[in-house]
Amino acid sequence: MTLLATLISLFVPIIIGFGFVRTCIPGEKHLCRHDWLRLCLGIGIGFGLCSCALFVWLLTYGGVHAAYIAVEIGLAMIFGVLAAYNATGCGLCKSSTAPETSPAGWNRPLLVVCGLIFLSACLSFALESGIHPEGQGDAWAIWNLRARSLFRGGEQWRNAFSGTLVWSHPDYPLLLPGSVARSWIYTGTETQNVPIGIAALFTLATVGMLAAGLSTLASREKGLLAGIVLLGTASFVKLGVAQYADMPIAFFVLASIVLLCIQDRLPMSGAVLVGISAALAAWTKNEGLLFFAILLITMKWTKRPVSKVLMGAVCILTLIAIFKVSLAPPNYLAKSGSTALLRKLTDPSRYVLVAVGFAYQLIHFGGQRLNPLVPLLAALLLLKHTAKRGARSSAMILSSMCAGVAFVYLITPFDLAWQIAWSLNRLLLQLWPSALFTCLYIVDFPSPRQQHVGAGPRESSAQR
Amino acid sequence: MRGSLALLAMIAFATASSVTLLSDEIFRYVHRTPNIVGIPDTAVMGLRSIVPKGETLGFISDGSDPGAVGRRLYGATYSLVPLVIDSGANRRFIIGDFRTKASISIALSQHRLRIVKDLGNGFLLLAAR
Repeated sequence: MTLLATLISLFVPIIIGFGFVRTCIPGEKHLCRHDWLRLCLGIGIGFGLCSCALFVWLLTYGGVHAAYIAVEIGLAMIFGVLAAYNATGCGLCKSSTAPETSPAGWNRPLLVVCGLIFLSACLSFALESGIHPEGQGDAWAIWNLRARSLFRGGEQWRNAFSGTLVWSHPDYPLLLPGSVARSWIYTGTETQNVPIGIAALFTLATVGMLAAGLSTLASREKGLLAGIVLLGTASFVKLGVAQYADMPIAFFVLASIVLLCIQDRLPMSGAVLVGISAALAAWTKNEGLLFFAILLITMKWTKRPVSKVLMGAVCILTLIAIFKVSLAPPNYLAKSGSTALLRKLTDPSRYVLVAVGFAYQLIHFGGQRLNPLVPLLAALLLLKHTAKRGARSSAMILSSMCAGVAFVYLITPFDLAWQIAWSLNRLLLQLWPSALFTCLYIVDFPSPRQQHVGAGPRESSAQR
Repeated sequence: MRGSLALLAMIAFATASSVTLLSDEIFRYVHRTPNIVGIPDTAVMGLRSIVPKGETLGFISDGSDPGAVGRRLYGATYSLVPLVIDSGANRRFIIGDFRTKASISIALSQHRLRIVKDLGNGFLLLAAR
């Protein structure tokens, strides 16, 4: 019975998300190949919207209650009906681009390898979940702890943000804890299958989003290849099974960047989805706020309109503001005085330490002594790469995120070496799916088709 | 040719990494040991009937490694939430984390405490005398 309730609790957000995405990016009456993209996007968006709905419920009614399930069922029905009503044809199918820079003839071998690596990753995920069903340290010390507070707390749910629990980062937003807590309302018990299931869904959705995004923008072969490399990154799979919020934020960063790249082929509501996805990144972890700001600056820089993006983000940003102002204690960065800040920024040894930290983590990236950056860099060096729609924006966002992370390290009040060792590999993994997407998007695999097919999705003269 | 080489290199790296991860996980799964985070669930039920709702508990430990003591505190908080646990012995109820039995009597006399309940996994519920 608990297993069935768990499955239903995980299925409802997927319906809500898929319906919402299909409303924003209309599809055919029947399913088309681009519904993979909508489905993967819908998984993350659905959990994001449900966690927001739970937060609004908690603020309104002051504690979780089984009646909340009716709200989600209602949302699922509304978005289901809207999606069906809005099924006026798939704009992505109509504006398909020729896959002129893909490794032609590799489709079937890539499909087989991708299937085998997917199976291997699923087995690894299941075994690790069996060893550590509660997830790794931060999962129970931060994310599942907060989920338990929301679920068990009743009218005292605000205790989750007590200043006494400063070590559990009570200023982190509620996407992941909210998603877990709302599923426990369905099950009635704190089954560990829920956080495991949510971790699995976000990992799967990230891989799917990468593969489907590249399939839409370039070709199926590139999508499969990207899926193989991502699933073959051992530390990525380990991060997924750890039940940390780094996987959801990696998903939302990737989703925002993919949507930014296909924005020209989407209706106006596509830009709204960019805003929602980026705002959900901010609703996941504080790094998401940095990402949201960088996304807006980049869009302004590349002369893309930001009004629709802001329109999509405004509701979620309002919830984040309510959370930060009324519940969350100040972030540790806000506690540093200006003198201490200046001293840290003018200390050359800190710059050296940050640079060494980045170099070390990049050399040891991926785990298992098999660095996936090596073949990727080789491909970038050996093969031609051309500017494509959105690729420059994507590269700017990712490099700005790295710069932003480095800046945070420079001013951190904690021991710098400890913080780098503890967090930098995870922060780089947050950007890894998006970096992989950008690299494989711009790289041109020479193929016989290239001579016969005309220009594809090249960068417009605006060089976005 | 170069395109195929690059593609094969990516596939080879990913396959090797995936196989290594799987074999590691199989080894770790076969040799896994029971892993309880914080206080066992059965003891948590009993503790709830003793400690009033909304109470903040103290926490003392005989551990010398601050990192390990911190993890034990986080584990206990994870088990007892929404009760809040604060480091120190200045509370009505205190969670004691003892790795060695010899240190229990020392801690009890030092902080003038008594044992209320053995929670298991090295944790004791203590109260002021």
